[in-house]
Amino acid sequence: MNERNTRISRRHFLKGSAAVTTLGSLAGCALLQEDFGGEEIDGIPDEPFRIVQVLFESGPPAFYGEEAMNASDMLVDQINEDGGLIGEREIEVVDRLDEDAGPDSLISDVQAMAQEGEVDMLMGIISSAHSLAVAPAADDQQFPFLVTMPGTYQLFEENPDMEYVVRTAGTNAAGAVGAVRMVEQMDDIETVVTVDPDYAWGHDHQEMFEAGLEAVGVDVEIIESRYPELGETDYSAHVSAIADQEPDLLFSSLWGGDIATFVSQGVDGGLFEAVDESLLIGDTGAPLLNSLGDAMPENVWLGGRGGYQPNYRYDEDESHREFVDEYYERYDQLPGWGAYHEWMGFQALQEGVESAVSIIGDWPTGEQLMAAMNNIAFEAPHGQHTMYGPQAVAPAVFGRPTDDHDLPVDHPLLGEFEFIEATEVNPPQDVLTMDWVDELEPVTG
Amino acid sequence: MPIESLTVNAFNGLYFAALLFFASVGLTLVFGILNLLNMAHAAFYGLGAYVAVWTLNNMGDVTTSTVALLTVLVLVIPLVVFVLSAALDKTVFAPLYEIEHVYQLLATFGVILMIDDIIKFIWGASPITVDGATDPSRQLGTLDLLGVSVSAYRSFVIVIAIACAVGLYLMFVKTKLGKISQAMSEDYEMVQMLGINVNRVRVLIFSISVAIAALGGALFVPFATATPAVTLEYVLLSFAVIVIGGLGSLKGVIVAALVIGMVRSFGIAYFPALELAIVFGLMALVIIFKPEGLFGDEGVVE
Repeated sequence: MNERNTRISRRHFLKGSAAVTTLGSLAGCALLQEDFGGEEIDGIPDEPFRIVQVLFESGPPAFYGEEAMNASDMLVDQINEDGGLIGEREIEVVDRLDEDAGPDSLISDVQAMAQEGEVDMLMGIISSAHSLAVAPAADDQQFPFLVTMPGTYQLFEENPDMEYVVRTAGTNAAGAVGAVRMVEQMDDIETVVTVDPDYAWGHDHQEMFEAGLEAVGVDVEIIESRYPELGETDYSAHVSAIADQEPDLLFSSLWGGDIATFVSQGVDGGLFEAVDESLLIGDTGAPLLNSLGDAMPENVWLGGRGGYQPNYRYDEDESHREFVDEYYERYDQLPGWGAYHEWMGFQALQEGVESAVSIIGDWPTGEQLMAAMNNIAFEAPHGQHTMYGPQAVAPAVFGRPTDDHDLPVDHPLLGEFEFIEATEVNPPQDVLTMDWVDELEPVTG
Repeated sequence: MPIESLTVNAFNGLYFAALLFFASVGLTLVFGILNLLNMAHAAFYGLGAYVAVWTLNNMGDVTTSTVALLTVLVLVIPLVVFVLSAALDKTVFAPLYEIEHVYQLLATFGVILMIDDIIKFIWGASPITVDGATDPSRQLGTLDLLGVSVSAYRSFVIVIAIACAVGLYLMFVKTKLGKISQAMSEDYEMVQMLGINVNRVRVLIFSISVAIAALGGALFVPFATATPAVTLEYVLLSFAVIVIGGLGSLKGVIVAALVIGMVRSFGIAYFPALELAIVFGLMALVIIFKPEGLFGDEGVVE
């Protein structure tokens, strides 16, 4: 399995980087030629670049918000130590909005901020459902919004004309189709049970996974799909029902505290002895392994849309190593997905500002800045992180839990990594995700 | 339907019923006897869970003996919470007894937010679990129940819930405190005029109630994960229990917890799509056909 994957990866990796170079130069031309109208900015402003973050500070997904907050505090400090963006303009996080307040409240906050003009950019957001409401509202107000975490593929497909919104997280297609790619390479899988949270994220994943399996023509049947509510604390009824059916594969996009509870109760209920193999793709990695510790079963694949595992290419990739080390030193734990997503966001911001200033000569307006973040690429643990227009395409990375690692934590991390190139798990630019998934080609075909 | 899966589902249902009982019995007692609608009640369940996970994870250096761990969960944590809640009753809750139920709900909702933030301030928002070495649910393993292997620890939790229910019943019918409490639920002022120190009884009933919620949280956590979401989930569930069982009835809580536990367990197993609808659909049915709840027109232990 490893051998074949590496071969595919290398081929696409080269193709990918060629495409990125072209995209980058295109973006530059657009910035110079397009008349953005409105007021231009002279030179580099003296005052800091003001960001408002939006993330969960309370409610079930708050732990994800906490990782994101930690990472952003750390990254802002690092950038400012070097003088700020392009070494000249410091970043200031002037406020944080608690996503738990709900979309209506967030939208009115966005409208107020846009009118007051005291904030340069909105950044963050975790919930897919919230992103679908808040991003179009920010765009209406011509208020730059760098979306860093939610995965719903519908964000730009339902709002294709947004000019003030950019998303640096890969869509959930990468996780779901990545899982299809994994199944393609597995032997002896005939029956599958899916367990996904009961809202857009979970249903999206289940639908893409099911449609993708059918399209690639593997002989696998989903015998049951379960949708526990978000924030469930007792999965034992689900666990025994699944264990009873003894499927060959368990697929799940449960994430955060939910996947920790599910796995821990699954271990107790003998679930991982009843199923042969599991694919847990809800942004799973270090935090789950930390909370499960030795109880973590070994016959599972963890991962999802990106190589956001602390020991993944840790030795090879210096910037990743620095990110992990610094985060660990500061917070005494390894970064989880919320942290990695923020990191990608800040990289896009740095890259975007740099390219805009180099082309325009002055600091970019909000619209110019967002345009400058389109079609760029920057370094990520999984290699080049590429933006197709305003949307990042991420590869899928999965690994198996193992105690065999060199990081200074006493819980398992992942090993035996499987890397599936972004082009294998994302639709080509301007093709709708579900249309593409319905026609998905087998990876070997 | 094979007999084994019947047994497993019944066991899961009983276990969930036990948790619901811990989380909601105090809510109904405090309402029935002290006339306080304490929305924050089940938040102490969440607090108990966090205190337990923290205590267990810090005990590893001292002892990993199962008996010691279980003693901490069943006795030490509830006792500590009992003392703390007596102090809370004298301060935060004291002014609330005199106001209308609507304001009690609003004020105690504020208490939920406070507890939530305290939890996040001390333990952060990341999910935490009990370390393997000090996790009694892993130490105890499984036992054989009618040919099916079930978790010994969860069986223990069910036994403690039954003991707790029996203990409460005996307290109400056999002890002086219980009899005064019952009288207070009938006519608070009359009891006061008879020269009985109702404040003392109030503190005791309140603290016992809160301690049981914390006991539930403590017992819950070896088999689950402590997340800030636990608080709100059990607040909602505990309200479902008392709506179905009837406010103020011990029997109501027991029956409603069992009904919800069983219906949910079998429902999830055989009709997984209906999971959310099950508990709250049941609640809607009760509200339509018996708005006072199954035993709402009865006293605390009638």
